Amino acid sequence: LELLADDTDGIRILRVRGRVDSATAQALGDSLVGSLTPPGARLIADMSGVDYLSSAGLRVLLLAMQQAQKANGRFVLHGLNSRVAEVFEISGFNSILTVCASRDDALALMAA
Amino acid sequence: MDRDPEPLPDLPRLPQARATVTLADASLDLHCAYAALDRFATAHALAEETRRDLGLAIDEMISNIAKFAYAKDAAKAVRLELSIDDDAVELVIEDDGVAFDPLSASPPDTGAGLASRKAGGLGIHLVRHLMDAVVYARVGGSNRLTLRKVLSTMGRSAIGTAGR
Repeated sequence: LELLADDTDGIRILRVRGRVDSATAQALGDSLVGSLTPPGARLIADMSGVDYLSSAGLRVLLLAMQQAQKANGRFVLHGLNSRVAEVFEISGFNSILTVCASRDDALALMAA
Repeated sequence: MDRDPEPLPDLPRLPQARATVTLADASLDLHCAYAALDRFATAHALAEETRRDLGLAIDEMISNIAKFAYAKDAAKAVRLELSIDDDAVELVIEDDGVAFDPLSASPPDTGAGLASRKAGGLGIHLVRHLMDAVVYARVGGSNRLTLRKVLSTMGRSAIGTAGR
């Protein structure tokens, strides 16, 4: 799993690449929750490089969203491939996570 | 004088319809299972989606075994067997841990709000959706989970069909 963070204008964009499974999810979770710990933090996760996400990945995304709420931050995802989107759908995660169609949409939401 | 018979053309080697792999340590050797699946998927020209769904099932079920059937002592073996027939891929996962039926877990509440949402139970929930059949049996001192993924018309590429 590859994680690449880029901070611009107070917004962190985290590019996630590879397979998010029970062996790698913890690293993603640490990065997400760490990024969302400062009060009011804004984080966009670019998931376009993720070809696969298991329930271990769902778990850390849920923890990240709960952390964002706790610290009054914002957490938005974009770039889900069709399989990851299907996993979200089956798990009912679309109702608790904010998923944008594009990075521009995600950035617009952050600015709003 | 008789001519030498034409040499027979090399017959394409048919892929083994069955592949088995034993993971020595359920908590550490997930990559061995992926490698076995990848070899099997390549040999049978499985569609990318089929491979990914099977990979997810392996990940979910093996982490369940490490967590529950082997509880605190996960450094124990898990046996995997992949086989294929005309209609489906069958994946059998066996461990020697305490009796643990993942199908007995109550389904997760996928409609709960953010604050009360729990991540537990999502693994088997995903697997039930992505596989066409999941059957649990306690056999002797082992847990045996049999998963079946039907090959859709898109389940296998044309090359794979021609090679069989």
